[in-house]
Amino acid sequence: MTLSYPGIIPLAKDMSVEDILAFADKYALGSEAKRGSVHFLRVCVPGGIMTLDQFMGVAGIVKTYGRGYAEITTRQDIQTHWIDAEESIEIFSKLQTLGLSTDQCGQARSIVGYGDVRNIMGCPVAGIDREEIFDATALIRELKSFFLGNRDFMNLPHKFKASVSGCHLNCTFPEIQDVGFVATKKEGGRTGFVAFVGGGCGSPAKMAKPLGLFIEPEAVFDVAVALLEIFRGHGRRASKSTARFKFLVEEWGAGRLRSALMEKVSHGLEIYAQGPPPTSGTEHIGVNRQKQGDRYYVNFPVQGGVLTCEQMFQIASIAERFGRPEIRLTPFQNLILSGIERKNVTIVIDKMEKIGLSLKASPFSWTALSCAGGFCSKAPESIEGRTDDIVKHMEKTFPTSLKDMNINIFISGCPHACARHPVADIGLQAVSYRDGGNIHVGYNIYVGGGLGANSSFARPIIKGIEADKVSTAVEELVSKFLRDKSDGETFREFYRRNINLGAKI
Amino acid sequence: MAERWQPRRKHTLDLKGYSCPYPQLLTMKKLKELSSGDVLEVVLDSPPSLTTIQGIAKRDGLRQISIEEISPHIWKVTIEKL
Repeated sequence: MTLSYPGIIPLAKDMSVEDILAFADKYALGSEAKRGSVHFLRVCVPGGIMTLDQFMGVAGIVKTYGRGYAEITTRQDIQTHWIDAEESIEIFSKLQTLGLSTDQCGQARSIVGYGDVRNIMGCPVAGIDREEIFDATALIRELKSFFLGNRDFMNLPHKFKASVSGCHLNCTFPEIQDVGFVATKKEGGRTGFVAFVGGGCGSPAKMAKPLGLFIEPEAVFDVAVALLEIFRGHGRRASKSTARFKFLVEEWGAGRLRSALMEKVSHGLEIYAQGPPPTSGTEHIGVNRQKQGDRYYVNFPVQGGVLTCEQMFQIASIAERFGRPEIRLTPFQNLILSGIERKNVTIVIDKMEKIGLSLKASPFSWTALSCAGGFCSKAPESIEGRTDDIVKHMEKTFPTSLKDMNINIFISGCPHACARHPVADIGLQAVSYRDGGNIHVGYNIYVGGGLGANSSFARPIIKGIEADKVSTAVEELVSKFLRDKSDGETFREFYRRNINLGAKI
Repeated sequence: MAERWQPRRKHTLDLKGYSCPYPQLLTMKKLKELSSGDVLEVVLDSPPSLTTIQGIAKRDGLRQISIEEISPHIWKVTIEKL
């Protein structure tokens, strides 16, 4: 399978200033300073769904410019590193041909006013989930298309994170988005959306508030645009540290925001006492039958979201032969192949296992999240490597006893919480600490976080444990749960109960 | 015969508002157009680009004359082409 680009890919040195700057509204590089990488490339994949050509094209870019190393991010992007800025226009030209764009990564500035709309997340099995309420794929693409390179929305006080999900599960983390739209069915069967506003995991973490509206599907686009206009006009611009949408929502409250919104959008809205989004504790893991009854999708765990370009090419080859010509990236940094005939499911699983993506992996392999701390100067060590160590330790210690419990472990390298540790069953955040004249790496451990009904942030249970003892500490937390839990009690319920009693280990 | 003295020419690039990689690319492009002894002032507000432009100056044997924060979070890098 090959992919060709029409025409000659231009080099920046041969291009006019105007032609170079024509890319500036849709393409940028991020900055980093570890492992010899100065720039990273974050390719947005709206809703996490990309065509096979797009996936192959990105694999080619990863191979040519990114030393063959890629990551699926927690916002369903694909990221690669070691990008030479002088080759960036070639890369951007290829992405443009593929119909893909990048984040603007304006967060590198310490001033407000350069915020853009980040990759819009969606349910990774949109359009194929048997219990789906609404297929939001077209809506996500319409929103992405509207905001991409739209200068009216590139001067936001800060970056803006959104999700639109028609899924019956809580798989896109709507309570920690700036706005998370979730499909719902009203009594009588009418389908629409509710929205959660002003969430965010970075310190200080805020749980999004219900907007209190039933939104007709046709009005979601206008509601999203109106919320961005409100953020642009009223968001705090005095300091970047208080410029995110969550601070405006906290100051205004959902009621004032709703009133301001309804002045801008006069159709498709009804006051509605929305409940929390449903929680399953999973995200469509394993083998599942699609709504297209004779087809199946398979969710493969990708540890830390890390893939090599060789794996990407082989995945594309398997998908082309046995499934739909598309790849789906999940908010848990995993990967889904879809459209597989029942008779081919086992073949696909075997072939994926041969390239290192095994369904036999432990539950933690699906539910562990890691930031890209190995490249980020804010993280004191490789978070991907530490995640791998912890998952392997847990697989060895609990080979079978955790089946179906779906205890998740989210590991971030700093308080910005890119791996969402504040909403994990077990959340870890790396810290540096001094011991005499030496600086060591340690972890703060939090437990009992979760979203959906009774959503809550995880609470600290261990502070500053040395990095090489963190796997054992996590093991002890899980052992205590298995030993002392009540019948049917989940990990989160157990630790919320015990933390309230002042438990420490 | 003594070389004829030529005054240094000063050029300015205003790259405020651009993120990586554009300040780096446009600075490199402009430097190619300059003659030996010309001075280029680059005004920018992207801290990572400030770092990469200093790296270019060092790598390409240019003389970095100064870095000045001309207003909060806005810098002027002055480079001389040797």
